[in-house]
Amino acid sequence: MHKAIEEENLTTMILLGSIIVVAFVGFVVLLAYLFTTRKNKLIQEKQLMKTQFEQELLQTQLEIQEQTLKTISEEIHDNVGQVLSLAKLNLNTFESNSEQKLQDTKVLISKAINDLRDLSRSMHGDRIAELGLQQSLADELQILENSGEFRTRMTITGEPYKLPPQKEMVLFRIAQEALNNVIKYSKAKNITVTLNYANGNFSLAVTDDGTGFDLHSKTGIGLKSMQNRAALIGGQFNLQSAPGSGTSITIELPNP
Amino acid sequence: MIIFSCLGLIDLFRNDEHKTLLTNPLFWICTGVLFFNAGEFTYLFFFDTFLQNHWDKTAKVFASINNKLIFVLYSCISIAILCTKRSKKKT
Repeated sequence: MHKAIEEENLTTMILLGSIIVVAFVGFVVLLAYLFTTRKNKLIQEKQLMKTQFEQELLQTQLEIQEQTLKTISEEIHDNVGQVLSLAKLNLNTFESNSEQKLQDTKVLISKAINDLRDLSRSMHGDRIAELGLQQSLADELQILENSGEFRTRMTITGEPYKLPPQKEMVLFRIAQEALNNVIKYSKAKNITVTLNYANGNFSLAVTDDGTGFDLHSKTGIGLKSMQNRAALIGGQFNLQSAPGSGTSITIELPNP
Repeated sequence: MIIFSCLGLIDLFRNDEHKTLLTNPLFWICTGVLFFNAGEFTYLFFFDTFLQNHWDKTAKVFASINNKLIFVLYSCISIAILCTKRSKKKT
């Protein structure tokens, strides 16, 4: 009888002990899980805030850059351009025996005025907004074509529509940077700019048949800047290149 | 086993790489092993007493507890296997 009671007591005690231990373990695991989940949530929020801050910083940088370019553009147009125009006017009224030299100087100054005008146009953000992306890019390609160094082509697929001015400006600057890279590094002969408006998405591609480069090699600030600009307008930046196979840069904008 | 599973869980909780613990196979395995061994702890502690006294009633209770803990352990392992398959599909 005594042994039976002892057995009963021990059973109850061990049963309770087991339940308490399991419940305690469960409580600790649950607490740790909740704590970790909360910690992860806070980390995610922190990362989101960091991304937003970086985007705002980038936006500010771009605005400052735009403002600087605008000021330079206005300065070229209003100051240097005017001085050169005046010099050309003076040359027209200049009487001299060395007619050929005078003629050459006139040609040179005319070229300088035209170049400055082109530079001023390509820098001025308001003009890009006014003309639209398509026309601005066509002008840019025309400048390259006029240099005699490149053959350019512009392809448009789908029904063109106007993108928000801010996005057009950023896309134009990306294309401009890409074209600058082509001029500086690619040794290309043919440049193609493709605007695709089909299927509700927009994409811009700049392709050349130059020397290309190894994607795993160290790249410059220009490419990073293009990536950042594309990210700012919610676009996806793709770069394809290989030594000897030219380079292609594509920016895809879903639902612009 | 309790110590090792605790260490595994602590490592998981400290590691920032795992965004959602519920989809992590290691979390389920450690939890299952921890529950199973914690539940068995008191039973094993008094194991010698049972053997010496031949207490059948107590043994039956513990067989029942043991069955439930085995169910918990294998459920956790099954979830861990499912999580592994899911993460493999994603990659």
